[in-house]
Amino acid sequence: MDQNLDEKKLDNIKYQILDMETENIVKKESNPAMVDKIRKMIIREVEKR
Amino acid sequence: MIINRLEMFNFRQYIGLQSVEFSTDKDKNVTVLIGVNTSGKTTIVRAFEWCLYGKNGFEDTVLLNSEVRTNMKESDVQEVWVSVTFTHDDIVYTIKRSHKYVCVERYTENGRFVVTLGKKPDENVMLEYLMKDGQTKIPIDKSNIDESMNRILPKDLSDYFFFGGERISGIANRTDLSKAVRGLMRLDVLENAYTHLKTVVKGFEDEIDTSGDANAQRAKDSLDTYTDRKKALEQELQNYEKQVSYWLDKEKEYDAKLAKSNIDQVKELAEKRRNAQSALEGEVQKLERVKGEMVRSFNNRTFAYFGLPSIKETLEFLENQNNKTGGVRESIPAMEQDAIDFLVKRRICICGTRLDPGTIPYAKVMEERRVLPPEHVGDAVRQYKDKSEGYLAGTEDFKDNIERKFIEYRETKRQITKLQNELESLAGEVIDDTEARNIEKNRREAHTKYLEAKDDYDSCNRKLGECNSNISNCQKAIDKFAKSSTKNQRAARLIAYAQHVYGWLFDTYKEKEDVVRAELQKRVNDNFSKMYHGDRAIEIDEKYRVRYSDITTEESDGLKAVKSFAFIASLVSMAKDKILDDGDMKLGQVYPLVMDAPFSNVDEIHIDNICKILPNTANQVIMAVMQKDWEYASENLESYVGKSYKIEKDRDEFGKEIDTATHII
Repeated sequence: MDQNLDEKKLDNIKYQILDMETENIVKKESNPAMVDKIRKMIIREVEKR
Repeated sequence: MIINRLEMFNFRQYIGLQSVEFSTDKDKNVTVLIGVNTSGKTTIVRAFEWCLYGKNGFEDTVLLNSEVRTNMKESDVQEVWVSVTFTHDDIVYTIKRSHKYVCVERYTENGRFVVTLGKKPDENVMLEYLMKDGQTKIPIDKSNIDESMNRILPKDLSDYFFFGGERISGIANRTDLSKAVRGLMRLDVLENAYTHLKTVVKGFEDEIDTSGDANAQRAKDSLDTYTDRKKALEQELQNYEKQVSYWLDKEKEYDAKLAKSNIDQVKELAEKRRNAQSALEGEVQKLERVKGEMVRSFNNRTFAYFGLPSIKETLEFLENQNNKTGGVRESIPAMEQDAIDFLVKRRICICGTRLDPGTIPYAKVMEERRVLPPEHVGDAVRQYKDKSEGYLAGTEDFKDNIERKFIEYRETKRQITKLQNELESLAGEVIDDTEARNIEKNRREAHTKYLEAKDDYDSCNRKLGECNSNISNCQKAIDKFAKSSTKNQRAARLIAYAQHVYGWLFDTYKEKEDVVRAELQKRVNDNFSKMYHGDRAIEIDEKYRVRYSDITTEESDGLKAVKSFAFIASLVSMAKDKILDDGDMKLGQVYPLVMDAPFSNVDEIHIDNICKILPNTANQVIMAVMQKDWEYASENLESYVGKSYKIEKDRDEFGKEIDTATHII
């Protein structure tokens, strides 16, 4: 994908995923639930102005 | 994970409620519980294991205190429980596990009461954590407790964190520890993140509507097929890798057996083969290196090399033309006819000279205009010359370099064939001993199997490479089409972000896993050499198990204990030093070491060495020790002790110890 990506958005996505996964170590949500959370977070971050 | 408190209620020989607070002081990080033999030291470690993982390590599985049990009447219910309070990631957790026993029968036999309990006690387990307000307790769903505990402190590694001197020997031969080590070093955060993200990317890809374009649709369909194929090939590759490693180990094992033979001929053969094998391995590595260098040299300025004769000829031609009258004249760089037109129109040159038609300055400027772009070839000539000269720079020794590398490559291949023949002929030599002959036969079989597995591995690896390239082509075709509609553009943008982060997570994971493996290897050997006063070395295999570098070494229980100490001390020290943390990524964790009679199998020198290392490697050390061992160990550990307890049995009216009534004081 040869698109210009916003570094700040990329960093936000990276650290939010790590946060969510760290939290999930104890909470242990199901895989589909985690996928859905990550998906929504990425859409929110990418489309944020 | 740091353990704050252990509470036991009627657990085994501990009667009533016992509460032990552990030292959480960073400098005085050792808590010691001192007791004589059979006082209940092992029970403390087992209480942790039962509470955290539900592991019941007792021969008689009834956990209820015998005295309490004896006093039960029919239908009476008595509870036994253990609770552990610990801090993990700055959050305080409490886990409590209990069993409720029902008395189903009570009778007297030979003047003693016999109490029969219900077959299966009613088990309950609860894990909760305290919110940052310090008041609100949040329970974790019961179905997730095992998994949560496993991720805080992996069950596979629990024997390393909660261990007893008597059974530490068993730790040496564990199965695959990779998952547990990854969990412990928090690599699983990265692993889970990229696994989940992969599914997210797939979801975004499915959103791209390719119905209007046959090529894109085909690419999308093929992408799914190739992705599935890639997954299968990766699995296949892993299996081949295991086979390669298995047969190689087997071959080494037989080799080592032959080397230990009492027969000179056998020993000599094994020695020769080992030398040839090691030389062969060196040459194979060299071949790979030379091949890589040759390809790199070839790829460097290839176009220039092949274009060299024609470029040289063209440059010579231009030079000749330039020398002739009316030859091709080069233009002023970065100047166009428009610039001259502008100057002529305003009638004044940059230098201030007037440019009136008919004057010499005007004629000179117009002469220059004729060789300027866009109309004149002079500009193209100049650009061509600039580029050609740039191309030619550095190509002078191109051919010689490749030739040199090729000669080296050919020589290495010849050497490999020679060594392979030597090994072949060594394998064919007749051995005058039946047992050695059989071992040699097995060794050859293992070697053949190893070669077969290696072939399969290489072929599978090639297929995987092709598959990756096909996936990349399909993605490019989809990307191209994705720009065609607003909806697709949005999906393409989401894919771009998600894929970028996926790549970062995956690479970071691989990089950090390499760091863990290399660092663990280094620290284990380092600690082992500090603890062990012999001259053996150990290594970590692909499954993170500890092995001796010399696989034939036989070991005592004491040596096994030292080996396990070295492993666990290294692992906790890596977690303690937070070796994986960088910037905002906090992967490091702290872990306790809970030990029961840790020194029972090791000699005094080892005790001395181990005690010097332990408090500095682990964040928290809890040890139940025998009085006699403590007298010796305290010399090095005393200054690190933050809390100290005694395990004592109650005494009857005659001063005799009561085995079923122990207290921690």
